[in-house]
Amino acid sequence: MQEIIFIQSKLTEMNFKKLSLSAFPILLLVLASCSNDDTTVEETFNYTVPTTYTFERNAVTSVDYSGQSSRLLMLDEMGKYFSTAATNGTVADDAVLSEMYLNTNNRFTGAGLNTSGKQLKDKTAASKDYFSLYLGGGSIAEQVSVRDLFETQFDNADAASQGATASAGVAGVYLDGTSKRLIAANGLEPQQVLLKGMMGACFMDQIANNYLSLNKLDESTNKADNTAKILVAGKSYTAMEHTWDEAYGYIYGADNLTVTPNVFKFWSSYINQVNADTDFNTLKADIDLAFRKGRAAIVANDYAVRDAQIDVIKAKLAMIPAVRAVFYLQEGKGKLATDNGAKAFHALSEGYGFIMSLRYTNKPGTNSPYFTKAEVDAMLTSMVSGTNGLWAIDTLGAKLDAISTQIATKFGFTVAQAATVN
Amino acid sequence: MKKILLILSLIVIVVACSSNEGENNSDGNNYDRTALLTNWADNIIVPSYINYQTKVQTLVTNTNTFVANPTEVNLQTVRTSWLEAYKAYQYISMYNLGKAEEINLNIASNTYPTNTIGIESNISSGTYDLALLSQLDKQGFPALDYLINGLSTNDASIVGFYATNANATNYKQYLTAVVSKLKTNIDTVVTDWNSGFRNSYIANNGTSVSSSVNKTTNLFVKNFEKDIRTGKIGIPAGVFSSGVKYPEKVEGYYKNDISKELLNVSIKATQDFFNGKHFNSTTTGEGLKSYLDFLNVIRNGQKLSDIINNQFVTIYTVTNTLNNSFSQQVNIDNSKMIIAYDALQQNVIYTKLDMMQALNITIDYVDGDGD
Repeated sequence: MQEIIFIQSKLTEMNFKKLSLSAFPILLLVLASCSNDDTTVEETFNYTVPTTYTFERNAVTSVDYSGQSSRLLMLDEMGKYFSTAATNGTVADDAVLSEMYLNTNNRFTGAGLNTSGKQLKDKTAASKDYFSLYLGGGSIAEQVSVRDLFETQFDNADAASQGATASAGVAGVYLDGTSKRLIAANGLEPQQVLLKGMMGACFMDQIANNYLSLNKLDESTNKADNTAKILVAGKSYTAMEHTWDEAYGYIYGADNLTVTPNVFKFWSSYINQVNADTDFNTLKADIDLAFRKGRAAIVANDYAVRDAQIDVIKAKLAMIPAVRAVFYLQEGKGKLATDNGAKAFHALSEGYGFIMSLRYTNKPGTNSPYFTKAEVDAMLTSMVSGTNGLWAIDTLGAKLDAISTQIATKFGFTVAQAATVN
Repeated sequence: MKKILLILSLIVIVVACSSNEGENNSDGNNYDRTALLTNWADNIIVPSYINYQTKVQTLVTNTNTFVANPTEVNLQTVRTSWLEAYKAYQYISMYNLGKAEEINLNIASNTYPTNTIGIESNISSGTYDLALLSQLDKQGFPALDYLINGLSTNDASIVGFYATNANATNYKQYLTAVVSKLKTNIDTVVTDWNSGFRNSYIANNGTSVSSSVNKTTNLFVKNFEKDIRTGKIGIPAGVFSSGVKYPEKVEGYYKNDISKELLNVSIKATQDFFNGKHFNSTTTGEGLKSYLDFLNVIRNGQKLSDIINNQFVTIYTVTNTLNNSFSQQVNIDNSKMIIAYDALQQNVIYTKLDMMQALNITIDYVDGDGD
């Protein structure tokens, strides 16, 4: 299926007469958003939006998001390092995890990652809007503190992997069905705080507050260069096209549709999971289309349509951590009675990480997140505010409900809609 | 595909509908830029250069005395005049235009950390040409810092390098050469300003990318962002290295108790320039502040010039909590450095974004944050 975008543009008669079209090998279009010209001739032109995210220039792809793919794969490997340590009963070395985070000392096994020149740490809480222009309440102090928070997860995993069995106030291993999980003294799973937290602090932040920011897309001479199709030296894309692709890459950059079953990682995977619920079953198509439409609009110099797609992506993508957070809090709540609550901790840790992600959303038109950092911190603090954190299961359920309602209300769905995938 | 090719061949003229409406903030054509440039040249830039030139001359004189008679007392005199010249330099570092730009005065004067291995190599070989590009990181104030503060941990030993060391002649020669280069550089710049550049600078009073107002304002913002925020605070504090701190990359590392003083002087120089304050005087004239006020630039109900000046007050409050030695501050409590960085960055945002937009000046340098 192909979507066609029609652009109505207005050409003033006066300007039209001045233009001798035969003298111009190219058509001059005046895109005027002003409505103060009465004498106008309606003209329409269109461009196609491809059915897949495929864009070419001179028969060569103009799409490149290898740096984003690298970071997704790095986080994937970091996650596996935790599970491997738990499964094998080996120490999850905090020094190794720190090195993976910084990409030093050749800690990755994936092809090209060690030499990619990319790292996760320097892109954590590093968006232009929030952490350079300090919109949305951001600052370098916050950047430092969230990076430290992830480093703390490495320490917590290290402590949990020393041989103890997890119990209230004791870091250790919990046997969750057939899976062994590393759990910190307060019940949180360092791996999940890292994975879901980084989906927010790195991937979401880079998408919503960096690459889809007009401050980034239109920086320097980007707009004029894109309009004139001046390419980045040695590349087949304009700087603006590439910027858009980098946003795309942070969602879909580690997917593999050439194998069965298809592989989906991080946001791409969770978009699918949320979309599987009929209450939210347009999100996947909406986000996917907005990326393609926006990219086609950039090629066609149609910045109004581009900007409209930015708003679509920012709003729809923010729904994913919101719905998933509520889903996991409710799933966890249902398991609080099992194993003194430990059975719930995996889901609650995922929920905790997705709540962290909400701080990096960007509500269209505000250049601020749906929830402020203070609001997000209050939710996170509430979750672990009992004695020994999540282990305080007698009081935890009510807190989880309150947070669930708070998130659902903000995003305009009900807790029930998010809690059950049907 | 044909459609795409067709589209690629279109030139779309986007008519901004707001251009004929009330965008009074972006049209500075009525502002007297000649008066602005005259104030900058005659009351700020040239007097700052002359002051710096005088301080460098004192440094030359005291260095000659020390070289002729290497004693601890004479070493102290060199140090004192070095620090005075270093502070005076903070007042000129933003004017990287004309002859200063041509001779790389900034890079030659203040590249740190200095290349100590290269310096020692130059000294032992005894042959070097400080005018060469490859020598830029082996001279200037950081090189002098090493030569008068960093050769040893005690003063007697430092004096020994110039008195009893087997290579004492070469040490003396190098110290003299570095100081002389500072003098040659500033003499060249002052001569140029006095022999025509001042007039052409003021005459270039348009609004193009290469106009004096645009260039100077860009340099003002760039100096504040790159040389002050990034160089003096950000890099040592690990802001650009994923948290890896560099206490050895502070300004004035070998003296080690002056990085705060140099920072504060540089901020003062920045604020003074913003306000059009005459050098070494309480008088103010035309400047970025008066330009913004002329255009009546308001942000959130407040004059942007007031917002910027208020942020300078915040900056001083924060920097005054810092240790005199940023090396120590980084090691003891880096969070204070981060807070200082955030305070500085906030004024980078106000000037680089809000001010430049209001003055309708395009940023002429880019951030290398590619991926």
